[in-house]
Order: sequence, then structure tokens, then C-alpha cells
Amino acid sequence: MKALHIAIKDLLITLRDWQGMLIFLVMPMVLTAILGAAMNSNFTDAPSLGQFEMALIDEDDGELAVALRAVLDTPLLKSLIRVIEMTEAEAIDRIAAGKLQVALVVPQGFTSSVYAGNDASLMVLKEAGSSLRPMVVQGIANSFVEYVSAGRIAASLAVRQAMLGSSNIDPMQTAGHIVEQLHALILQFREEVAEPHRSLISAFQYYAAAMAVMFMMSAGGVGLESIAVEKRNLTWERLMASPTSPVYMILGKFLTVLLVNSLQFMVLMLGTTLLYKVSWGDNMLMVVAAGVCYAVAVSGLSLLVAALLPLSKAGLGVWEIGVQACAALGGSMVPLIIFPKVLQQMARLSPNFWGIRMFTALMGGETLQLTHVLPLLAIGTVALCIGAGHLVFKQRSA
Amino acid sequence: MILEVKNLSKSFKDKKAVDQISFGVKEGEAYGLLGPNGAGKSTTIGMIFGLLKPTTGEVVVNGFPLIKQPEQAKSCMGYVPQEIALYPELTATENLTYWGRMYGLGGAKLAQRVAEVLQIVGLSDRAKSTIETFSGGMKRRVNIAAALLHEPKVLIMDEPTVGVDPQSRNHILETVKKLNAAGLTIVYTSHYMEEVEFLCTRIGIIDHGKIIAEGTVPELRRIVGEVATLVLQVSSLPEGLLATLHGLSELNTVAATLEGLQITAGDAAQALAAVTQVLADYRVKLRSVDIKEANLEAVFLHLTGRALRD
Repeated sequence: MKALHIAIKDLLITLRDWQGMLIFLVMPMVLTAILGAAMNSNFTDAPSLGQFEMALIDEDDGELAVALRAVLDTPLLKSLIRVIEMTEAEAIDRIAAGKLQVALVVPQGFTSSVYAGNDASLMVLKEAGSSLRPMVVQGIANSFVEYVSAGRIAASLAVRQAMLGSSNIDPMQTAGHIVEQLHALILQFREEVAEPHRSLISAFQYYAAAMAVMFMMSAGGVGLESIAVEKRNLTWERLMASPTSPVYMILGKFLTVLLVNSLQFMVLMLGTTLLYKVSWGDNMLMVVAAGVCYAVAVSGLSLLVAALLPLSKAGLGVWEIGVQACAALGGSMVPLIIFPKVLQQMARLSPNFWGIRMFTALMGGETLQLTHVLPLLAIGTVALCIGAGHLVFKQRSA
Repeated sequence: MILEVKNLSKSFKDKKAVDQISFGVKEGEAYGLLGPNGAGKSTTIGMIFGLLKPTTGEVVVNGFPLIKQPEQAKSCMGYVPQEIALYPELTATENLTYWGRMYGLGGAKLAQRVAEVLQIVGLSDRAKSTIETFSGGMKRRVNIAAALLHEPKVLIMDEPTVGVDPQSRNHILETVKKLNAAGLTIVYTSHYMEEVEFLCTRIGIIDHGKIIAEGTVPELRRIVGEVATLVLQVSSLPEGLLATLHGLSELNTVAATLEGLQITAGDAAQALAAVTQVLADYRVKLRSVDIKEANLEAVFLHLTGRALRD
């Protein structure tokens, strides 16, 4: 109960700081409006993006090229992309003449390279200056390669296990098994893309989620600042002199950020829904639960930083730099799909990535999955435990 | 004893801030810890509340050892810190309600106590005002009120009048005096000897982390003997006057200072009679006389060779 009283007191103080609240609530709304409007006409929303032409250059002529054609032939992608087959030279000419924006090249030996277990990739040719349509094609190409490569690794492992157990395995039969597995995976990928309940989201939806996670992270500084102010005003010392366990004091600060963040999320969710008609998903309870899960991650990180950094202006500065870095890396500023592959992998280090992934999945009609919330709850819990442990230890050895 | 401090020491790197301090406070007593800035008073208070871990020694409050039973020990104490430890954005009532909750109060009892302590410190009419709108003295009073909410067995005040205007200071001192008269045990630290002398029945004089003397005010005065200080303002200082005064057996010391002639003597009345006779002989007019009995300042000076505010 004491922890809750500490959090309620902090919430009261935070709510009375109208300037701070203005930044935490109005700024994300403003940025959502600006970025959403700027990106809306060209975002991944199929109708607003409009159907566009894409050249398919098949230099492979293998099974995977056929599979890719089948993927591109699914109703959703068909409504977005009109595929025209041509040679690479023709595509380059048309791009140079401004008659084509993007071409997808299946390089020679792509299928055999994947089957042999080597790295393989699809190439995207694009018109200079255009970025969004090539970005969509690149996304499809990356997902396809990722899918077939993952399938190949899984199948190879399965086969290796089988071979270790018996020396009578026919390699030809094994290869056939691998292809069979790949076909199954390709079919699954095609079905997933074509899944009728899974829609692409609008720019306003994306940036509503992206700004919410960025500013919720920024509001995590409330926890740091609150401990810093309490130490400066000696109310922290007074609290330590009271019969309040240090564990409650720290839990109270965790709850403070959790409350501020949850409240902030609800206001942003309602604000973007009412002002920009952003749909956060079909099930509001799930969306709220998702918001709270993200708030857990932010609260834990806030406490961890409070424990490890000096609670001065410099410490708060480090938090703000961290917020910006996580926002940039995690896709709050620019959609991850246009990032290079390495950065897309690195984005997983940022809570923003997991937050945006979770909210956009809900916006796209999915239900809240454990795979959405577990990374965030894990970040929050681990950070809370390390931070709290460090703070209690520091306090006890003063 | 309601509070027992046993062989308490605290070292910061090479520096010993508190060195084997021991004292005990009886129920209902007002105990003063008097010493200059940096003597180790606040470090001692910090250790009594568990804010600092003692290098050696222990604190027992109402029979509860602080290290083993910190929550029970802390529940018996009310802490008035040197600085104002309140939330400026919250009202007096909100602040007091919060602090009451931290001491385990709640419901109607908490509301009643908040009203009572506001009355004790004379701020009932400002209950709904935010602390940031209060004067320094009023903030100090709320600071004290927050320590009284849970009806502690002992109220420990760490220099509660630093930087306070004279009117608020008097109000605080009167309040503390009344609380003590009502039976509340007080531990009061200060470098103002008048405050400690006014409030406390027993005093520990602390310097360089050690208690150098302890006792009631009369007991401490006896350390320096029954010496009075006379400060005389005279019309002139003719040649030979100081030498003649030095020769008087009624006087202990004579010095010409900016304030005037400063004389110490065992018997102030006899000394004054002898001095007026000499002044008449030299045709010097006596403009004013100020007689000061031996005080704690003199005791401290006697024990350390330094003034309390050095």
C-alpha cells in the first residue's frame, strides 16, 4: 500500500505540472498529425498507395522463382502490384526513362544457392528519388528470402538429425524432403500474406503507435526526475527515516512511471482515435493491456537508469539521449522496412521496436499474443530487479 | 531510556565525523546536542534514523535496536530535518496526509491527526494552501507538524530554526517547549546556545565528533566556575587606567575591546563597585554596564578555546 501511496503522490505532482503534461500529451498528437499527413499518401495502406507496376526479372528460372510468382499472385499483393516480366536491360531502360519505379531481380542460381545452404538474396532496382514503392518491394523480397532461408535451416537440421541416426539415408530422398519442407513454408508464407483479416495499416495508425511509444519512453524520465527531486529536497531522506522499507520506496517509483505512462497512453489513444480516426484495434481491452505492458518496460528501464546513473541533469540528459536513440533505432521516426537488414535486426534491442510491433499488429486485426508482450514484460522485470537491487544495496551501504 | 546511543562512530574515508559518541535520553526529557557547524550533530542524527550506516556502535529506540528492528525503532521517532523536506506542489494537508501514510496511519484517524498537528503549529487556516505559497517560517512549522503525526515517543529535531526569521523562530521554540511540557521527549540539535539553553534540561556539547561535556545547564556552568563577564562603556581610556584595573584583586581579567572594557570576575557586584571607584579616581564617566553570567558559550570557549560560531 505504501508503494501505491508514493505513486499516487507522484502522479498528483506530475499532473499539476501542466507544462510537462503538455509535452507528454500534446507533442505526440502534433507529431502524429504532421508525420501521418506527410506519409499518408505513400504509406503501406494499399488503396492510398495505389496499384503500381513492378518488373520481375527472372534470371533463375528455378522453383523458388516460381514460388515468388505465386506469392505475388496472391489477391492482396495483386491489388497492390502489377507484375510485368522483362529482362534486366529492359527494366533498366524503363527506369532510366522514368516509365518504371521498381524492378525485382531473381538472380541466376538463386534457388540452387538457397538449397545448397548459401546466402542468397533478391535484388531491387529502383528509380532515383523514389523510395516508398521500392520500400514495399524490398520488404516483400526480404520477407521472402528470410522465410525460405529459415525453412532451409530447419529442414537441414532435421535431415542432419535423421542422418546421424541412420546411415542408410538416400541423399536424393533427403533433398526431396528439403524441397517438400520449403514448399510447405512457401505455401504458409503465401497464406499469411493473403490472410483476409490481416490488413495493412495507415500512416496515421503507424505514427500514432510510433509517437505513443516514443513519448511514453520520454515520460519514463518522470521516474528519474522524481527520485532526483526527492533527493534534492531531502524528502527521500525523510522517507528513509520513516518506517518505510526501501523496497516499497523503489516499487513506488516504479508504479509512478507505470501510472503516468498508462494514463498517457490512454489519453493518446483516445486523442488519436477522436481527432484522427485512428483505429487501435478491434478489442480495446487488449489495446489497453498492450499499453500497460509497454509501460512496464519503460518503468523498469527508468528505474534501472535511476539506479546506475547519477541523478543529476547529466543523468536525465543521458535518459533523453537514450530515448532518441531507441526511437530512431526502433522505428518511431522512420518505418523499419526501409532500414538495412543489419539495422532491422539491431532494432530488436529497442523497446520501441517491440512496442510498435505489438500495437501495429493489434491495429492490423491480430489479437494480443504472448510473443508481443513477453519481450516487453521481460525488459521491464529484468530492469526492475537489477535497478531495485542496486538501489537497495546502495542505500543500505550508505 | 527512550533513546540509547552507544559508542557510535562514523568515518568517511580517512575522516572521523563521529567518534565513539554515547548518550541516553530519558522519557519526557529534552536533550540538547550543542556544537558548532561540522561538529558531527547531523551525522549522529543520520545514524539514529538509519540514514547512515554507523562504522561502529548501535542505537536503541524504546527497546528496539535500529539495525535489527528498523521499522519498529523508526516508528517511535519523529524526524524534523534541517532542511524543509516537503513537496512544494502539494497543499499542507496533502503533504501531511502523505507523511502520515508513510507512518502507517489511515482513514479517519489520519484526517484527525492532520487537523490536530496543523492546530499545534498554528496553520489550520492554511491547510488547503500549497507549500510553495508559504513563508520560510510557515514551511518550517509544517516540517515539524509532519514529524508529529504518528505521535512519536521521541521527537528528534536537527537544527530546525536555521534561516528562520525571529518571529517564526520564537513560535517554533514555544511550540517545542509546549510539546515537551506535554510529555513528549525531545532531542534538539543546534549551534545556537540560547535555543538549547531555553529548551533543554540536559545538554551534550559536541565538538570534532566527540561529546566533550554533558549535563544540565548549571552543571555545565560549573565547569568554567562562577564567572561573570562585565562589559563597560566609558568616556575615555586615560593612561594608567588599565594597569590600575589589572591591580584590583576583585577582577580576574581586564581587556580593552571594541565593545568597551571587558572584565571577568567571580563576583559581579564587588567587581563593579571596585571598578566604579577607579573610574571616578581617573575622572572617567561610566556610560553603560552589561553584566553577563557564565553561559554555554563560555563553557564551549573554556573547553575548546574556540567560540561556538567559529
